[in-house]
Amino acid sequence: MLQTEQRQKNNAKEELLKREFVRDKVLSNKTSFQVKEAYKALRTNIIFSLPQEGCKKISVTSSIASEGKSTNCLNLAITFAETGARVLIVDCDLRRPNISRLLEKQSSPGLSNTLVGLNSLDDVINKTDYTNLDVIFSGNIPPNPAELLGSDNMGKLIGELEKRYDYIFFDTAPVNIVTDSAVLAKWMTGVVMVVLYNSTDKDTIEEAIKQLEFAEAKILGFILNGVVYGNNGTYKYNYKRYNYKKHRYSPGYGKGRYYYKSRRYGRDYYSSDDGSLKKAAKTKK
Amino acid sequence: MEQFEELDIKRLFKIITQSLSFILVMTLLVGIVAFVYSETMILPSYSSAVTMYVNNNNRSTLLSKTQISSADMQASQRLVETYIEILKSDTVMSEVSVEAERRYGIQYSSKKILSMFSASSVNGTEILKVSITGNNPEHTALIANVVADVAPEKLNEFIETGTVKIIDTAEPGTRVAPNIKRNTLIGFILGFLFSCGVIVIREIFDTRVKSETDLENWFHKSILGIIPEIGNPDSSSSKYYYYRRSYKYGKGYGKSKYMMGGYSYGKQHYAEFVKAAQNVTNRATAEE
Repeated sequence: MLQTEQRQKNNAKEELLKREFVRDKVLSNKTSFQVKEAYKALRTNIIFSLPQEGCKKISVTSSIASEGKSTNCLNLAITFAETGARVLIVDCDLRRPNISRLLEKQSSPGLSNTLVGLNSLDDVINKTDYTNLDVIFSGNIPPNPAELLGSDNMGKLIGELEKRYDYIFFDTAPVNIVTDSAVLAKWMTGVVMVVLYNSTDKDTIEEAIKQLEFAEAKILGFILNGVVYGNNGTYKYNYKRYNYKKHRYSPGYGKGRYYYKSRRYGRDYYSSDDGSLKKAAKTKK
Repeated sequence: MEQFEELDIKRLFKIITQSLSFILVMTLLVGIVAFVYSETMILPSYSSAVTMYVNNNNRSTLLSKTQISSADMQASQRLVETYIEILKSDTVMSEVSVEAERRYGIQYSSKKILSMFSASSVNGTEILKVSITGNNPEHTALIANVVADVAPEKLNEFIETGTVKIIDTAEPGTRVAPNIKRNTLIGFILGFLFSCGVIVIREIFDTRVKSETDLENWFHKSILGIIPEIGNPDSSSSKYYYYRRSYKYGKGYGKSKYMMGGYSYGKQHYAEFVKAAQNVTNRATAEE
């Protein structure tokens, strides 16, 4: 009895700490001057690389998982909202959505629900605690995210949203793993790629860029995320980051699919296989 | 297309200065290993020598000439080498072996003595120096002296020389090997080179993104922003520890699929939703 209580306490504590860590990442009054200014500079650069008129639709993507897309997308949207423009952020990662986790909101019906027609657009747009910023969460996980994102419904939806907002940010899935991002590219004014400092390989990024260029995306540029400064104000050259290679590269591919004894844990959120195939194969034997 | 990436000197220097501790440790380590190995594992070798002068009655020796030409020098060299070959012969060696056993009770086979044996002329003269190198200093002296005794009769037997005079008898052997200082130094140098090599090779194969200039050079697209790392995920503070740990199982650990995203219709309605989702694409194909 005592053990389970202890474990529950530990889990609760763990949850709190994890949430605190996540909360640190989102822009707020507590974030340091350096970070805020970095985002403002980023905002300026993006504004100057986009046309002035009309609604600007920007998708934030990266080559592999866990590079900081969602965090950066959210922070960027917050920074834009501070200018007084009407900003919307849409969580287009229909396989592993993060925006609701970052905003710590219980997400309501979201993008997928309105794309399949079960909810109207107005049901789906939520306000946030930040002024001028609205959010569309991902909604339930559909079995066919890439098809949904490329469907006519999505085009119509974006057409509707264009009338209401000045800037729309789309947080998408990693390009190397699934094609969701490339499918969206045709509606975007620009695509921004997030790269994690001292972590992502050159070849990986090259593949991602090739994929995007093939889908005729207008790549605005890179965001170099997670830079660590050493002494002398230069980059800390050998900053060792905990890489989690398997986690970031593998979902859906070959060997690293199920990691850490994971018929139970390690479902891939980017693949639709939930381990039932593997189980079936094993029981047959 | 594969482009060979250059490693410029500045970057190399930076890398080496940052890995200085590694280099130092490796250098010391290999040096110490070399030292310990030389000290303990290698058996020391000792060497004793006898020098002798072979007086040849039949031929004129250098000493008997008034003018010595280089041809004479070469001839006497050859002579000494002949003597050496004779001494290295099996007959002489077995004689030495037997004598050594008889006189001093030490047992060395003729093959062994041959391996310990080395001889040369001293500075190009007709003086012959025989060295015996072995692991026991006293034995090497004894064997050398035996050679000194055995050599004259044997040489007389084969060449009919006059006399063989011993100049220096053997003393208990001086240590010649292993050279500990030299070995340790080599160890240090090897350690240093090896560690530097490791660092350089590791850096050459590391194609991760290390600066914004890397991105610019590789892809020719603009850098829109550089965002510093918020917090320090590698610090030992527990909030970072738990967050890192959550990566082990994937971010959605513990959540079933219909709960992901935080919103749930509930399991029953999820089936409806899935059907509607599939309908979207079905409708598209139906219209076609």
